[in-house]
Amino acid sequence: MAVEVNKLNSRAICVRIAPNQDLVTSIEKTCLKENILNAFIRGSLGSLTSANLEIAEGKSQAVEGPVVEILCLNGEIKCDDGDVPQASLYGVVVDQHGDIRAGRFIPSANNVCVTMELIIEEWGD
Amino acid sequence: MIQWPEFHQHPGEVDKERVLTKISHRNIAFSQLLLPGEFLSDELIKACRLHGLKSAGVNLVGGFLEDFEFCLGQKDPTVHNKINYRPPQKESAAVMLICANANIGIGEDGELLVHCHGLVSSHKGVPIGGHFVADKIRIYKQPVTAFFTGLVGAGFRQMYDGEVTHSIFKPATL
Repeated sequence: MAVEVNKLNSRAICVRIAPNQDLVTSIEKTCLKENILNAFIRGSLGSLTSANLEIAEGKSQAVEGPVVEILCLNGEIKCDDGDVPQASLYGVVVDQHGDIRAGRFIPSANNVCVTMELIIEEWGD
Repeated sequence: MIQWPEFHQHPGEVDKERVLTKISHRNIAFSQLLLPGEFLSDELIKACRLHGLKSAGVNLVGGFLEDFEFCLGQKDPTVHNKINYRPPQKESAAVMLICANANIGIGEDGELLVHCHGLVSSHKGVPIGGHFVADKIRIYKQPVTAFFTGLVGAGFRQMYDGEVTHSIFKPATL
């Protein structure tokens, strides 16, 4: 059974982030460029050279590379008072040995390895 | 403690464009039940065809998978600086799907292609995951719910990337 909802006023941007670009800030810059104020991240997968995750308040976890696969990623983009998009991204990653870690992706600390492909789904008019 | 993010020099020439984008000005959201006994990739592609879509992003929720195969990344031992997948790891018993994301786009052969990563719990209760070998994995026992964002006019197309020396999904006008 399929339930269909047409959303004629919203945009969806498909994105490929190249190697050695930061995951979080690349998404924020894309939203700034396209004037996206509120969005949800859909269909996101790829790999990182290493990962830095916030795993609890004030605690972070480094995941060593050379390649860390992103298993799941969910996130949203909201604007601060100055209409600057800020991305909050949460997910699960696995290193080359199969060790799995989860947390919030720390901005400017997660470089793409081979590729990151995702869809930024705009919410609102 | 945060470690300085690593830099990886891939074997090919670096492309100037570091973030590629294409905008779909109309997208379609729907959910679809993926049926037991069918291959994961077939069910995702069938749903796209049903809605006349060439590209979509999907979140998969719940259910079980059998003939589960997945890959982890590694440095290619034969090509300097190349990153590729290790040979697939196979699970002998059905696994429980915890979460997975997939993108569907047009492959180099012109047919719809699925790229899927996710996390499952093995029959022993161990979390495992990576790149799903979606054309070998079957839906097991009960339907898996898939939430689609279908893209119209733009989407993913598989293209060779000279930097990473792999064919990967890139945004394109469709």
